[in-house]
Amino acid sequence: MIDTENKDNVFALRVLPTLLLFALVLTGCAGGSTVTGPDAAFEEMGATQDAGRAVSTLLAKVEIQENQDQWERAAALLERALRIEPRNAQLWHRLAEIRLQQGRYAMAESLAQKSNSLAKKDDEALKRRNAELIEIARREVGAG
Amino acid sequence: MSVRDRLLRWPVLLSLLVAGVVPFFVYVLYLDAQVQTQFEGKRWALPAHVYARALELYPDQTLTAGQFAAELKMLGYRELSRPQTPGSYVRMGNAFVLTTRAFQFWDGDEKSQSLRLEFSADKLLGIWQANTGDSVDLLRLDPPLIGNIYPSHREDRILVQLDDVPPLLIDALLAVEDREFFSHHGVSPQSILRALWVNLRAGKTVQGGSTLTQQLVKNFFLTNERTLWRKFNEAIMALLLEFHYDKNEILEAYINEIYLGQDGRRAIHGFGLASQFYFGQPLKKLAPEQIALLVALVKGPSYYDPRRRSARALERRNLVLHLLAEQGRLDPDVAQRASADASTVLPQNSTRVSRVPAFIDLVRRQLRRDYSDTDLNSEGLRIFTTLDPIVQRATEQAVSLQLDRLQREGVDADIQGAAVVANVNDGEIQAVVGGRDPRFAGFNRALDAVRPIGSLIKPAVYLTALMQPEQYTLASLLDDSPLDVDMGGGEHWQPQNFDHQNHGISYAGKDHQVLLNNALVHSYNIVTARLGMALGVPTVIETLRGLGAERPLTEYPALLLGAANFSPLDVTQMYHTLAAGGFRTPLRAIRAVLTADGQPLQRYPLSVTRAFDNKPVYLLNSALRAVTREGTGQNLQYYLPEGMVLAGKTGTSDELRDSWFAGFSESHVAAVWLGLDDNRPAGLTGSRGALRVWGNIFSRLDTGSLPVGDLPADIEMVWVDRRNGLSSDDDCPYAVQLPFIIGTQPVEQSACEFDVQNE
Repeated sequence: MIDTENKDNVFALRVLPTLLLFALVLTGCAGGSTVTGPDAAFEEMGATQDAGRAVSTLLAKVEIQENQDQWERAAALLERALRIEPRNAQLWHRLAEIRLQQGRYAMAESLAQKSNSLAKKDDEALKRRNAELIEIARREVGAG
Repeated sequence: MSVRDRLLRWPVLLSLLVAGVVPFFVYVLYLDAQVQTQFEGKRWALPAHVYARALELYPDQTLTAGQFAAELKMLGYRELSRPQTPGSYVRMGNAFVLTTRAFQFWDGDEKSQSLRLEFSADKLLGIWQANTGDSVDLLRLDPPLIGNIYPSHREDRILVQLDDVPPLLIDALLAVEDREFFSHHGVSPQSILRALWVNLRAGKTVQGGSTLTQQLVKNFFLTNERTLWRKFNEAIMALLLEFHYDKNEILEAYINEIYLGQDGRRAIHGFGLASQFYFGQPLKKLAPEQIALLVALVKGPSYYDPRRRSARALERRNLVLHLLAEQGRLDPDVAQRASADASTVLPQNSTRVSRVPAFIDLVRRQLRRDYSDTDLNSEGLRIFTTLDPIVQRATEQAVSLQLDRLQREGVDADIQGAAVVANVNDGEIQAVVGGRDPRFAGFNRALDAVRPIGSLIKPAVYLTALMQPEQYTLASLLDDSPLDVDMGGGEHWQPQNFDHQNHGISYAGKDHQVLLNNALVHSYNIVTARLGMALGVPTVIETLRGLGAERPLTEYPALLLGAANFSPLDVTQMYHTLAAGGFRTPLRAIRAVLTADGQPLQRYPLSVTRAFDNKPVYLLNSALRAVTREGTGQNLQYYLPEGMVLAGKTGTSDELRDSWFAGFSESHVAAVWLGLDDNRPAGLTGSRGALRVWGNIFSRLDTGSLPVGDLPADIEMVWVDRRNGLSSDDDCPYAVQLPFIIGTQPVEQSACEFDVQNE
């Protein structure tokens, strides 16, 4: 889907709306966002920003699999990415999201905690998303 | 003849029938059942193939040209001046040009690509498309084959369908082995007579009279006795096969079944695998002379072995080509040219399957939880494991080297060792060494040497304490004075320190006061026993369970000093939980299982459970780092580069029977055991024995130093007086910096010139 020539275009296409969304969040217009809402777009950019090219390549494939609801394949690709960048807290968060999506709430919660334990001290955005994910996971467990 | 006469004759006839025809009929039914079972069942019996991790390649990766070359060699890549066929390469110093093989993985396919790679001294600089020069961000090679799981007989094959078989191969088979195949009913009297005639004329056996069907039956039963009775059975079964199945089914089975060579203990069956085995190419791509050679082998793969008896093999190959031309199945010119070809086959590459019996043993045990033996050895499953051949090699070398050295230093010649190395991040087991000779598939000590772990258990005691931060910190003062525990029934337990001393200073009216941190760093027994009993043995056992200990444990005080039996794999699991900051991940040897045709069957995903709060684990790991710097593990510095930060713990069982070391870097966790199989004292402490092996393993790995700078939230570093644990100025001569959970640091200030006693 993304080949090397037009990667820059794709990136620009993705970054612009993300920045707009970010501005919206700052001005308080976004309201109660959910994990799969605007935050997800923001988070994708975060993960790609911090990651090396090898991991970015894998994340692009993760997205393709997610769009086809191939959650286990997406998880397998994320595990490959984690082997390359094991201390990338964003990747652990992505894996937590997949488990949440699959309804594996306890695992999702643990993975989000793992992401938190590796998150940079000033990465408040990631910590907030992890906290949110943990809350959803716990709520779902309670509901189930 | 009267009615009465006839009635009298009936029993005679009946008994004749019973005596002759009925047993014959029953016998035929028996053969029929056998032949059908064989045909239906064995046609599909494919061994499972076990693969190591596939090497991922990306720019800036830490990997040397030498390691990369070793990987290619293990994969059986051929060195060609123009490496354009998949699985070939050329090396020019630190640069490689190669064409990769296509491969199906769980998460997608890798295509075959032609690429150029360049290395610096320790890094992969970049990957480029050989043709366009475009840079490549990520590449995955095909995974090295590390084992096959066979049925009882060690047959291997690559199944081919009749449509994929070159017509010339079928023509050649018919021309040489069975001209009337499509017209006979399983047995051909004509062929037998002709063979008889040809052989009489030649004065030796030139032709066999067996049809392909008979040969197939013969292959099913794997016996070479040459008796008339067997020939008779073969003939009946051939007729039965022809009765049940059509010619194409029989031909396809024959092509997949026939025995065509031997690779060590592996039997090469069928033309599909033989094509790979002899030519390194799929059957479809073979040239006429290659097809003719394979057909020539049918008569006797060992007698006509093209590797050892090349002249004999070529002669028979040319006979096959001649017969093809004679019967008008091949253009005589082509046959002529093919006959002139003197090139034969690939050299045998027996290193294709690396031998890692201890790891394969672990894989088999994990697989047995999910698959029956029949599934494992007949479904052709593809098992993708976590083994990292680079880590495995380093571990094997370290174990062998250090055990040899210890032996030269006078340690018992029967000294044995085992080691397990896992990845800290995802719990993947990267190396398993089950003994001194890593190729020997015997007693797997990594899994089955279940021995007392001695002081390796202590971190569980101290973690239990540190999980009560309002009561215990690294600066808590503990009591190392003599201990006598009344076990009841007149028995007393009096643990001793290794050096038979009582440590610590007198403080606030109490003798032998030791900082909690120092007690672990120097592995004092009495302190630990007293602390453990104050915490309660059941509470410590609960911590061990949290770390991942699954074996039965006896609830008595001696457990606190390591009277608990574990294998090196168990220990690796427990220390992994510490290395991962309190997150428990069941160690895995398998990533995924695919079916024979590449369909995903089962994945063994990364799983994480938060077992402990990260703060007490951080405090404990800080003490385990100090162990390798100034405590019982300080000899590690002789094996590792300066400035490398590691954490670990020594362990020694009673009377020096077992020598242990377990520990971790940022990326790897490992446990090493040394000892004697018959449990005699090996005379080695953890520090003199296992530590050396462990240090040597880590010196060979590309492993990350533990980060010391970035503290987790709610942890701060505080200067304390290492004699009394009170708060201290950083310029005080006894000041050490220790981490504390915020709010638990000592408040009282130590007087710097505090009088030293007993230290």
